[in-house]
Amino acid sequence: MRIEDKLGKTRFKVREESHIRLAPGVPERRRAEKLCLACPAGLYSLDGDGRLLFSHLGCLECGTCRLLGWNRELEAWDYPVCDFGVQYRNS
Amino acid sequence: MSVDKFDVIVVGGGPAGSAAAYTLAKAGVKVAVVERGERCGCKNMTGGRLYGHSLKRLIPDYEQRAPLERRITKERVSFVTRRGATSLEFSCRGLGGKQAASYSVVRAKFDDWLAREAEAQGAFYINGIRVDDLVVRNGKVCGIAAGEDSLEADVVILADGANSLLGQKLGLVKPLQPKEFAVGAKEVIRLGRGTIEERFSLSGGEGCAWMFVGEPTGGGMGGGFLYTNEDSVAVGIVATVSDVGYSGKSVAGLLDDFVSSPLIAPLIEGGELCEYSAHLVPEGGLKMMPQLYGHGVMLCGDAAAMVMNLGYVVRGMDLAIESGRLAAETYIELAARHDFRPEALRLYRKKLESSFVLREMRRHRGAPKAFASRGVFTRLPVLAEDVMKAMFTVDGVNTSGLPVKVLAAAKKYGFGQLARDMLRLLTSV
Ligand SMILES: Cc1cc2nc3c(=O)[nH]c(=O)nc-3n(C[C@H](O)[C@H](O)[C@H](O)COP(=O)(O)OP(=O)(O)OC[C@H]3O[C@@H](n4cnc5c(N)ncnc54)[C@H](O)[C@@H]3O)c2cc1C
Ligand code: SF4
Repeated sequence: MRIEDKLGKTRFKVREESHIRLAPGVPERRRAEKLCLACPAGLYSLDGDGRLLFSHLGCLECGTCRLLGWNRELEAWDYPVCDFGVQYRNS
Repeated sequence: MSVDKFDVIVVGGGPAGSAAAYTLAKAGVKVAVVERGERCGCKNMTGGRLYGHSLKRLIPDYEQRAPLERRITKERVSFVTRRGATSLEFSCRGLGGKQAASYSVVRAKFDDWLAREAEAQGAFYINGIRVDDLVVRNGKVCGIAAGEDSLEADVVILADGANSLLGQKLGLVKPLQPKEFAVGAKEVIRLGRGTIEERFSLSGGEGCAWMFVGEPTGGGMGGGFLYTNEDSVAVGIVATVSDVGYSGKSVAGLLDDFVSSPLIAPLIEGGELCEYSAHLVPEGGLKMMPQLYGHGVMLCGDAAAMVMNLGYVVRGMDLAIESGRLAAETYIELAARHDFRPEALRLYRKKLESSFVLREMRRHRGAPKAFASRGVFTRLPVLAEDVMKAMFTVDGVNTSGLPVKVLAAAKKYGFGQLARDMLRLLTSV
């Protein structure tokens, strides 16, 4: 089953504005690859020029990317404001 | 938020925060819990099993009141290779007896229940608010800030979980290190009560807890787990963050391979995925534990890295509940003197020292290092397989006795390495 389909089973209260912001520029390759592998929601990917692509939709707010990339690949990471974001019912 | 003053503000409505709030409110203390989730538990996930002993101390009849899934009476541990698994199964009706039963739980239900119990004691819950900052004056934590609002109290209890942004802002929690955390991801698959009992050979209300070492993390540090809930099964992996990528697979990919492996797939066949979730686990043990208190502030549960992973036992919720209760008791004892300086709040640490929390974390302080040895995840499952293969293969060709075959398997592992890994494992877990 694809990760997108799995995330489709989890409920979210979506906010357009992202709670995570990538730093500009081209990241170090190995570090960027690690972010891509580590995010359990698979929200990071690399484009042809080695730039990171990211979408906050489907973020499970686990904090793994913050742990790996804060102050380097990521320039902002916070929990979504108010009660936005993931809404678990069965975990 | 109004400008009311509370005696204590608790940040986070997980087990640590609600245990603190319950204890405080019961003693007549004015306590507010601020939780970012619209309901307590909707931001939280866990593997699945609550060791009930500390909750029993808090709420002696919790077994009649709490939304518990199944009482765990069957334990399995499996060393998994690409070809199969060597497993140990232990079952025991009434495991844990009256005082120390353990249960699978679903956090959205469980945390909400515990919050309501605390509310019934008089605690005030403010849900759907993310605390952005602590109000600090002259080095003393005086309250919390969220957006334009602030709320003051004598003491703030930080129970904001593994990724405690507030503990880090305050400088009590050091910047998080990838080697001290694991990322956990899990799927909850609805199967129906009868099917679960049939497939796992369980009687009504009984449950199974199952840990996996080896292939589920592709030989990387971490492991797999499975817990039976009332009508669903939770299957997941935890992977040490610094070791992600060891096998070249992503965390999501590892979990996907695990649930579709021959070990798991037949057990969940025909089930319906109802949720996918992920969370960090602090796994560095005693060594990564932050300063547990400051002027006007105490840290509980995951925010204070109170988690023990021994491979066959993973515990955080029982430590969270106990630490929350002890932080509350500390406040209650100090309230009369109205002294919340670090010198006074040291009492919290003392209480933890004489409780199971720090005693057991101290006893098992070597576990994180033992589990940082690659052999446990790569060579141990293969060793187990080799020994079992030697025992159960009859081919009329290899006629040496079992001891010789076992020695051959151990040689493949490396005698020195095996001795070192075993010694580390045995002394720490
Ligand atoms: C995959 C996995 C498997 C596990 N398996 C087990 C197991 O089988 N048994 C076991 O005992 N333990 C297990 N654990 C550990 C256990 O889940 C934790 O130790 C436990 O949840 C800690 O409770 P807590 O109250 O300290 O933190 P949490 O439960 O994380 O609660 C923190 C709360 O604070 C809130 N919060 C955070 N920041 C803010 C903010 N700024 N403002 C407002 N609210 C905020 C969050 O929304 C959350 O509700 C597992 C953990 C994981 C990830
Ligand atoms: S917080 Fe977790 S789920 Fe969200 S983007 Fe980061 S790693 Fe992915």
